[in-house]
Amino acid sequence: MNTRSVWTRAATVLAVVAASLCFAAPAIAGNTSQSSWSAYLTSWNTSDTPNRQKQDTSNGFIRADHVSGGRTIRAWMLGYSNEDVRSGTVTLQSGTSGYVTNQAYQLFDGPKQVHMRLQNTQYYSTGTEAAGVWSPDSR
Amino acid sequence: MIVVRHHGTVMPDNDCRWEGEGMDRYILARRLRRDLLSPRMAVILLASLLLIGVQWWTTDHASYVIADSAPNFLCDVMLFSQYGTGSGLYLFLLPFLAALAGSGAVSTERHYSRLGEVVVRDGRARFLRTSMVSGWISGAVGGVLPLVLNLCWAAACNPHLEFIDGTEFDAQGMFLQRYVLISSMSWMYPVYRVNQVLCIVVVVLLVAAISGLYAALGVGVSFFVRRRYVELIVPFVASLAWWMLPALTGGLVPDQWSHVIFLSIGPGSTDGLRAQNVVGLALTVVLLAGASVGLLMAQERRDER
Repeated sequence: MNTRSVWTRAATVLAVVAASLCFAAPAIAGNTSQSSWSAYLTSWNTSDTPNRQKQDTSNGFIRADHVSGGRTIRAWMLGYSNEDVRSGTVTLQSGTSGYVTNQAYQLFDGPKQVHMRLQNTQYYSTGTEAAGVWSPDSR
Repeated sequence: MIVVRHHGTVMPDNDCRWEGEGMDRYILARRLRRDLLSPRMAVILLASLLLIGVQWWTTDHASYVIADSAPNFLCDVMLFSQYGTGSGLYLFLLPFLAALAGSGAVSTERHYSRLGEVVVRDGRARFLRTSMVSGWISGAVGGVLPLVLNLCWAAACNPHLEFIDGTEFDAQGMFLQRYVLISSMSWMYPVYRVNQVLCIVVVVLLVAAISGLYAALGVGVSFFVRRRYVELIVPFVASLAWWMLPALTGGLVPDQWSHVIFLSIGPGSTDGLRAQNVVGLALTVVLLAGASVGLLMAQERRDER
């Protein structure tokens, strides 16, 4: 076997390993990219963010960049079909954020589509406009 | 000198009259006994149980897990707990419950065609004032009954009252992931931090006072409107309109002016809005008391003509 052939084989093996690591990376790092959410909350009605895949056992993350009227809202995590994922709640006002404890990954033995649910904490007569970012994983 | 009353009760004259106040203690006691033992109070009792059930169900069967905390029975009590929808529903119905308990003094007598007899026996002015005061007291009892029953039930099930810190966020605005009963940003938190029992007493008295005022408004309306049950609807509609003022004025009036918000003491509000809870409380008391006394004086003036 000549030297060029060895280098070619080594490069091929390296490429395969690198490619597999690329695919494995999300499972190791978790789905931590922050996507935007916005909601218009009336009385006790709830509003959901779109679903995203939860890829590890870490807490979810949510930040409220804006909550109208100086109001307070709460957020928690649910599964794709609104399954209970043993989520804790976070209280949010404008400019605050929180980690949402949950057991989605453990309860469903692996990756699971989840969303955040939002609700007013008081019985207001007008709607609450709220917006921010969230991610299903935090590490 | 003795006075023989309608039901044959014999009592000394100087024992039954509050000189200068235009009220009769005997009529007041009779009126209160009738209100508190009426079928309407049974309806309020049933509504209380339903409200407590709603609060328990929506807290215990929520689709989230409420964090553990130091044992405190207030965690299961409407107005104090931040969770559950019982608080909002209770405060929304409060004027109606209060009116149901206390606003029927005049309309009930009129409905059973006893008004003329009662007025002749007791005197017109004294009857009006006593009706107003009895309405206030009965309304206070009816309005506060769901809260008191909830307090008693929760205290019996979990007789602990350990202090729970109300700090929700760290300096960076990150939620601290722990159970908070009354937020440190709530307008009632300073009272709660000083003394929890004092906080309970203050909240119960505030609910009772405002309930009584809504019932007194209903009594005042019944002086002028002969149609029955209007005295139940007017306090509720007035409360509803006041609650909707932020929407009707495009946000010029803050949410905190309504008792539905300022009596729900668990959640916090921002620094600028916290004082609006006190403004709302003061406005509610002054406007309701003013309207009730105004209606009473207008009726007395009309009677003098």
